[in-house]
Amino acid sequence: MTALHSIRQGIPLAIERIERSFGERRVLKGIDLHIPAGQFVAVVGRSGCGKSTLLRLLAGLDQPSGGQLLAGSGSLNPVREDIRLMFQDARLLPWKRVIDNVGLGLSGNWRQQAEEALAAVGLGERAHDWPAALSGGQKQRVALARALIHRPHLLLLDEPLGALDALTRIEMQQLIERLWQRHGFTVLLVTHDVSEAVAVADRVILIEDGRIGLDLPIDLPRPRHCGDARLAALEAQVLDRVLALPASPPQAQALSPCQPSCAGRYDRIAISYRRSNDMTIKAINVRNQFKGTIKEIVQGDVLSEIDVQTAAGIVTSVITTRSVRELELQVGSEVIAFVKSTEVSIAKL
Amino acid sequence: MIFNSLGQRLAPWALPVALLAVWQGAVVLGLLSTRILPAPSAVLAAGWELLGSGELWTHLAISGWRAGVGFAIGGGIGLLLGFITGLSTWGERLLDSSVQMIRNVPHLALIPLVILWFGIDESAKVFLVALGTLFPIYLNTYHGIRNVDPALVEMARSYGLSGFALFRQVILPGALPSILVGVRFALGFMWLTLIVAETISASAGIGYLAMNAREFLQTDVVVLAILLYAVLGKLADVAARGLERVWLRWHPAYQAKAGGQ
Repeated sequence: MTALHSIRQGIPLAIERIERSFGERRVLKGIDLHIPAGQFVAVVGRSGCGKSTLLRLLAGLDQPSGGQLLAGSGSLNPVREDIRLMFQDARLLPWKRVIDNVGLGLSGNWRQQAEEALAAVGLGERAHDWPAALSGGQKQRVALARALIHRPHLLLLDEPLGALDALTRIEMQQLIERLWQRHGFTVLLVTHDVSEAVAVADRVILIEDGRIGLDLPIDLPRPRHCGDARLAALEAQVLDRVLALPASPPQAQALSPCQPSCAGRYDRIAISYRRSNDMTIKAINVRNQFKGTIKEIVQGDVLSEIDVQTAAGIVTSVITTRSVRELELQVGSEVIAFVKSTEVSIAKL
Repeated sequence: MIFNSLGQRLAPWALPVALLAVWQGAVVLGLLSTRILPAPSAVLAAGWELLGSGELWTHLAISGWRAGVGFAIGGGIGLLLGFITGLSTWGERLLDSSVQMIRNVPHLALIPLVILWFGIDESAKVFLVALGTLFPIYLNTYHGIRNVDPALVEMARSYGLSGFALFRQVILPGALPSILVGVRFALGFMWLTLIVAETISASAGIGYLAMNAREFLQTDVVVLAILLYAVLGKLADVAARGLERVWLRWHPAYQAKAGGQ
């Protein structure tokens, strides 16, 4: 690891009264934010709240209408080369092989470095494949390697895991966390997934209506794991704040119909999860809970499926296998299954 | 297994071979006058004779030269104009509507004017071929550049690419599939234009060979000339496909095709 060796060097960020308007619409209404070097910050908010706009301003893809962006006390422009942005879609050039995508924009003898960067994201073997041959998660890992080879001091992540399946997401979160711990760059992660934000970040910023609505430090030791009660509590705190404001426009996704998988299975309440910790089994007194006993546990390597017999029928929950062990769950255990009200869809029978 | 794959390879040739056999049989049995259509064997014999005397090579060479030079000039100008209008808004504003207007004039309608300008020597034919190949390549280059994914361009810019590096690494490869479609269209127009130009006024070339043979009622040579155009057209298409297979080997669509053949 010569190319990616550890130099603790993050950019401290000062965002001062930043504003951005598109015509009449003010997307950012004066954001003030100070981020110390090397901090992992997650920015959450409803779609259209301006969180991606903030990221584009920091990446230099857009100019603010007012206020200023500073690196420490100086301008952001001289350190532009040390800032790298990872997009929601991988944006690999399909006509360049994987290794040439990683070396994009580099000159001189970069192949050795590119191979090391690919090895760091676990894709050393795929260096000479075309991007079209990779899966979605692999493409994002190549994009991560492409960002890391520049040894960024500030890494901007624009919902890079949004399109990945649950397992790949968890793997990528852990990979990003590991690389961040090794290299010490500052990270700004924009995500719509509050549980993801709480799980990986030092600090969660909620943007609502173009302003900072909540600035929550997450002082939990790492590695964190999905079933942790304190994480769930912090997540609930952020979600309560998000949901306290009326959604301004009503969100289509809240009205989406029941997943096809549960149609015709009226004897079971099937609940779909985006992430394992969207539903967990624990005796916390919240609404939308089902008291019951565990009927069956299907253990997998990472995730386990648990069928809980409740008065309303069988509720199936997917949690991490680690949580199953730590909570000492077994068939016959009395548990309470609870779901987030935002994650329940309703279909008319 | 072997018979199966051999059968698959030979299947496309079954119909042409059968047609040739029927044709030959009809002539031999006297059902078809040689004045109307000579037997395939006679066409073959005429071809062999012309090949032996070296006459065929001369005509092929001169036709090939006209096609090649005309295509290079027309394609080059089309590519250049396409780059200008595709890459700059001002270029588009100034040039695009003019080019579109000229494009809508059928270039073969210009033949009388071209003869007045260039006489009946080589430059007239090269000019016509260039005019015929310019527009398909122009249109597809322009269209290809305009359709390069802006998300990729934005990404490349954020990784420090600009100017010629951005053009060479992102815009040109992104436009290449469309440009190559233009090349295939242009190759079709190239032969079409050449056939017409050579039959009107020439003293050498395959078109001249055909017109000359008509004067002397040599139907076998006329059919030979027509077949030669078909073969040349097919060769040009194969060359264009070859370019696609080399330059677009990253493209899933072309990978699938290469795997299927």
